[in-house]
Amino acid sequence: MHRRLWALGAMATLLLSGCGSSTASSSSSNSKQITITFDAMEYSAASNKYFPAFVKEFEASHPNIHVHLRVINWSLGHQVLDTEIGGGHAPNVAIIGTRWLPSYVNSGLLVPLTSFMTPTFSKEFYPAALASIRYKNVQYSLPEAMSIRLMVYNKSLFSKAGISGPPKTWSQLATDAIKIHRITGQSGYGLVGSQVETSLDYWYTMWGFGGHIFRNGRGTLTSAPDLKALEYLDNLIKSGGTEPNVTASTRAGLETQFSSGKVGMMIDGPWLVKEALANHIPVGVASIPAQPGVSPLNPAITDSMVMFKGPNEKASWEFMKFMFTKPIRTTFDKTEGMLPTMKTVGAESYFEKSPVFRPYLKALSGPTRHEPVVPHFDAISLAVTNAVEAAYSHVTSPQQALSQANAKVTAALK
Amino acid sequence: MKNTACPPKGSEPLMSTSRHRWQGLIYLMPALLVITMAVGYPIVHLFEMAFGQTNSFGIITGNAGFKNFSGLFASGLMRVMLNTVIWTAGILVPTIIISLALAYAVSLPLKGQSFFRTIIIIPWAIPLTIVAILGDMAFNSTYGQVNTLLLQLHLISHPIGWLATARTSFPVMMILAIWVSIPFTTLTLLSGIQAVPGEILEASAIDGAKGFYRFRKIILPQITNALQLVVLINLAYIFNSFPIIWIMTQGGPASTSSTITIFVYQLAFTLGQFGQAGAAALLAFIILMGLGVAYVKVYRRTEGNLL
Amino acid sequence: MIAAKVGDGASRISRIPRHTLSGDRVFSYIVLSVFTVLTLFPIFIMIAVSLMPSRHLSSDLYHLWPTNIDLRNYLLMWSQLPVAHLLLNSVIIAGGSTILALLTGIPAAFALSRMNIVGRKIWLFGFLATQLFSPSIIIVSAYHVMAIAHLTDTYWGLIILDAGFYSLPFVLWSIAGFMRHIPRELEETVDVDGGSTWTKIWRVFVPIAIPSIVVAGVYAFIQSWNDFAFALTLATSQSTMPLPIGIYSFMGAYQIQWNYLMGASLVATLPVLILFLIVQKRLVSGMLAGSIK
Repeated sequence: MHRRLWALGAMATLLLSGCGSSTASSSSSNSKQITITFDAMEYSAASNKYFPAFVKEFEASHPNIHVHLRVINWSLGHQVLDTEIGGGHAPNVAIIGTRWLPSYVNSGLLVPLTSFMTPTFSKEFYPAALASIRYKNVQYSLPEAMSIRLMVYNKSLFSKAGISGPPKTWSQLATDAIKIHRITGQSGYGLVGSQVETSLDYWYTMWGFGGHIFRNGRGTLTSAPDLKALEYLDNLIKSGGTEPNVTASTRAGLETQFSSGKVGMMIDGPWLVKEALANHIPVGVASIPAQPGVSPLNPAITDSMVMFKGPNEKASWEFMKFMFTKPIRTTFDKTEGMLPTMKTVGAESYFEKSPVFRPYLKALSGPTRHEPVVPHFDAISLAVTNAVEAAYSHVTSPQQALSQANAKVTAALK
Repeated sequence: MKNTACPPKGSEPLMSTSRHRWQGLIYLMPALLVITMAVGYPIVHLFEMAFGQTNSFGIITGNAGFKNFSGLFASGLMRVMLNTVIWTAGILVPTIIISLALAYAVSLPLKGQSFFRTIIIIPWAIPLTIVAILGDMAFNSTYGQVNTLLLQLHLISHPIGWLATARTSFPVMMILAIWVSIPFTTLTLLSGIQAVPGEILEASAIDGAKGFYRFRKIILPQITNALQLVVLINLAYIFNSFPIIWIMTQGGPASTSSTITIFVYQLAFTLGQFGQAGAAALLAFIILMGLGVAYVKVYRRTEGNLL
Repeated sequence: MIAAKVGDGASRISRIPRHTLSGDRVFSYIVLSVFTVLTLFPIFIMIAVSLMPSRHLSSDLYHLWPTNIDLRNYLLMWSQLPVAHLLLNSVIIAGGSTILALLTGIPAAFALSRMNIVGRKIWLFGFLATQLFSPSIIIVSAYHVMAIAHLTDTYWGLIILDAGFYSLPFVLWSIAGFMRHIPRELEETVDVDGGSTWTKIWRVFVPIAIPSIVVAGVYAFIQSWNDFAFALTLATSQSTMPLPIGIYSFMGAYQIQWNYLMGASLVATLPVLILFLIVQKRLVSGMLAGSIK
């Protein structure tokens, strides 16, 4: 295979000789210059501003290290990164979805950070932030961006419907949601039922019913709590407790509806609060509901920064360490509406005072849960998304849908 | 169809000695080199993936024989293939019909001809991913402009969840795909119509041929080359089209609006099954190739063809 | 002179007596009007959304036209994204791949239409067959090749991929289709003069085939301009990233900046329309001369 590649490469070189391609980096005469590549993910258009600024700042203080930066769109990040890795061009440092971490670790691509992390450095993080991205009890990554999902509710719709406060249980939520719809004509509970995040919105309810995705290497979607949760959501849709056309609702679409005052409540991150307040919608934030007897754990989602094996691991670590200093973290978290993962950042008065961040920051010190870190989680998520969508659109019964997905989950875990 | 009024053709090859036949390849070399660089190895690699074991980054680690192919049927290939057939036929046929009408319309001496020609280009000038994003917004069930407009015109009383089921989302996405396929198709057909010899048209007018009859009997037979080209090129593009479905529904709900490209992409990049993805892509290629060859065979008899 | 000879049999459609066209013209106006309305509505949406103020975008999206217009979007957009630079990248890549496709495609089209070269039909079909692969799967291995040739994150990588995968087959076919109809006696005059085949191609055939070359060029340019799959993976920094990929930045991980997205999209659409307006005269007169019948 490589001989053939070499031949093609040679052809390319022939074709391009004398064409003055601008491939090589503009490395200076300094022979000790080290170049590392950093694949950052694009959280918003602002990412194209602050990431280059961070890199510039780093290069100024580390004149012998040059950082080749690329900012990749989130929705396409997995594909681009896998293509680079497959082509033998893994970056040195990258931001990844924690879902991808296990397959990178199992393919032997990542450097464990344990030897680099001094106790003082580790202590700067909130323990929950580090724990949520640990895989096989080893720290392969640092918590790049963290968000907790809470129940965000529209106070004016709640008071119009005569509801005093956010629901504590899912049963209560159903009653409230239907009431909001009946009295105000708007949607009660905003439920994502289209594209990748469908499974996530199902986990919220399923966890609240005391269920699990899998246990001991086998899918548990056919267990009573998992099934009850899906039946509950299915009934909620049928009785008008959710927005109409659930299977057309992506998260982004629902957020727009919520921010224009047309949805009573939905489970989401701080950015929704920010957007709703900008649209003059009075909102409250509360823990997500749980059925009686199930302890309410707020779901946390954390993205990871990892180091790929290769030359220049020391320089890569220098860069990672730099990315986890207070000024950098503060800029990033503030701009993107992410929760601080470092204690010194969380202590900033900005976060303490902000109506957007305060409830989320408080939830950070309470009990949280996160998606399990296992290989092939994307496959599990896709199977469940398909099952849940089939149930929502009444193509199959919840029971049938979950038992089909369960087989796929078990297969993916092998 | 014989036509004698055509300008003389240079179709009789000039150099026919075998040395010349080989020498001619020199002129092909630059193009061949560029195409090989772009797709030569990828096509070889596709075969290797289809018959190989791969890791989750598409690197081949062993031999799998036909295992990847047999695995496909369990993954729901049949429904996806059916969708792909509906998708391809449902876009290709309307595109050709509408484009023929438009091409004929802008070939006539009309007021505002250049305005209309520019309008026809618009769907092509907007990057395809933007068209898909625009479609996603415009057909949103609550704030989408299509629902807003229909509500304001009192054509509907409740917002429609266009993308909620494949029953409506598939036609909506097909309409968008037709819209973006029209410019290229129309322009190519227009160039064909423009080239129809005037004498033929004149003669037909004397015979009293008019309207649709003239179009079908006189013009259509004269533009078979252009038609063949747009059918083949569109066939490939529509069959393989990706952004519209990926951005608007991701093949959902429950992969009811999925086509073969979405299927391949999910196999490769969501599930990390590059072997199966390669097998599915190869299968899709074989089917397309079959369709293409069959189509060319049917049209072989028409004169003046390149093939 | 030569062109006139080719276009000889052709005042074409205008040779149809006008009185027999009245029905056709009514039909044409109806078809064109419907298509115009259906095409201008999306453009109207793009303009309307691009003018919506960021502050209450969510509520404004429910209206067809913004409650109050915010023209500053078009300025703010540039401060969030280096639109001008990305536009330049797009022009370089699309222009480069168009030139590459034409420079390599013209001799090949000549060989395939005017010479009885070995395996002529197989070549023709083979080139077309490369179009049958889906770019989203091709890119996996195309990346290997470009990585080995050190062409990732360069203009050259994208120029070669766009030309080779998107445009060359069509360029070949359409120019070859045109050249096939060029009368033989033109070629013979050069043969008598003893010119080489290369001279013949560039001095005789290219000037005549200009119409089809313009059509093919427009095609190549737009295909490359609209490319997503390749640019996404290969343009690894804003220094080479074309505009359609850059625009995607407004689709953030958690929020979509619809107003900037639509504004930037309009900016990305304009150059193609301008290009088309410039070449339209050429295109039309070219088509009159009989490009691909």
